[in-house]
Amino acid sequence: MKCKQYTIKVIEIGIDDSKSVIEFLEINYELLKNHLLSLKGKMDSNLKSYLEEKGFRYVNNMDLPSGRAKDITLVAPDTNTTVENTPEEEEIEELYQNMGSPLKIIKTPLRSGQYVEYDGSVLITERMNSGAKIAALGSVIALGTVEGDISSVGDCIIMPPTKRGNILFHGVKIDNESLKYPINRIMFVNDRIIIKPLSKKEIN
Amino acid sequence: MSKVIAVISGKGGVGKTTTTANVGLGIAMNMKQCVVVDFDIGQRNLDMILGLENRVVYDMVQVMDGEATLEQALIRSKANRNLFFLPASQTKDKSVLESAKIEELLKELRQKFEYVILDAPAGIESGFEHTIEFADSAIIVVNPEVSSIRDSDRAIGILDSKSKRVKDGGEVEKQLIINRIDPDMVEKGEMLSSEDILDILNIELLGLVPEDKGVIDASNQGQPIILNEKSEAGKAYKRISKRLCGQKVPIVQPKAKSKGIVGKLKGLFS
Repeated sequence: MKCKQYTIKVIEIGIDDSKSVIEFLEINYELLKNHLLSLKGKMDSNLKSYLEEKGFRYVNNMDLPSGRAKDITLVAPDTNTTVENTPEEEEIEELYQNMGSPLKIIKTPLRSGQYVEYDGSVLITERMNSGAKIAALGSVIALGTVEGDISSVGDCIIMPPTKRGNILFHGVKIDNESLKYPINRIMFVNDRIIIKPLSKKEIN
Repeated sequence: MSKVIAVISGKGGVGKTTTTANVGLGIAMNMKQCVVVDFDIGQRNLDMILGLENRVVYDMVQVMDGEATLEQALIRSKANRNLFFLPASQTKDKSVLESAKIEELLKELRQKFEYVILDAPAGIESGFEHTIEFADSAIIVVNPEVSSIRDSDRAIGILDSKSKRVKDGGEVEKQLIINRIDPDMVEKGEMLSSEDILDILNIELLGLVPEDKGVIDASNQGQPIILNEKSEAGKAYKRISKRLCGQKVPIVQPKAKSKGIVGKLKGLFS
């Protein structure tokens, strides 16, 4: 007899109404597609057909074995509706508009414990080691191996796949398994986070 | 031209002190005047590994405070006339170190010796920072495992930001020793390869030292392993010392032994 143990990622979602759940899943498709959805509440046919159409794997009202749970921040469905702008958000918005003008280029490897915080975009040509961190209000482009953490609230993150890195794009944790291309571009398209491969042509 | 070399690792227990003792002795065997300084104030070990514990009268802190002269505190090695040892204080702690006094002490040592090797304490606290502050170059000792590599990566980061040479606009030379390599495990892919480690740390390789159980016995006896002609680790330290003295010696990859390293070592020490 063959016996294997797997650790999988489960996202638990409470169903208030199926429309907002569909909207939520649509926006976070890239993040959630490799998870098992554990839906709590009553499912209607709309939601069911949506889940099947998208190929989500899900269980409904199932009593799953308990595991370590953490609250995660995902893009809420209502981010595109106007939220009251706090000064901070205005600041981010302004820098976002001026993307490209402030650019920091790092040409040395970033070592464990080194922390780069920058008000614009950051380009790193060397590797980022485990324990290093870049936090940018602009985009982040990493050309070397990434084992450290990247956080960006800019246009995009361009980076190779990473096993250990903790990647946050606009506060959303990007699943490391979603970064499957040789060079990935994490960006918004119609308020949805998507991950696309970047061709060599585009780099040049 | 004298050179101050700090031996650092970040993580403890990877073989900093063993490396300091062997490399210091190795340089002395190459007919260079060399001093090894124990900077691990409060936790001195280098005296034991060099087999000089019963000769310690004065220590480095007493020299810095003017309670003893450098000549009084320096201890000549029994194994080689070119090697001297400056012990750490065992009764004080790392807080006694002051930059100005260290600079003065190192200036004095530079005048007497071609090579000044500083054995840094583990960690990245003040004791570590004081060790690297005035160093011209650093030897980073790692073991082929992730925690050791991350800690040394952090230590290199601090070296690159806090040393005086860097603050003056220069650069500190950094060289890597990968210690305690188990060739059998590397062959099976269970241990990080030297290439992977070099790729992560991105510094020059100084040498590869295989795991050798004889090192423990050598330390207990106060006879550094470099004195053992048959030990692979000893041979590795000899090559490293020659490289530090400016000779071109090719890097030797530790090879897995078909007959088992333990059996061979038992033969050595029986």
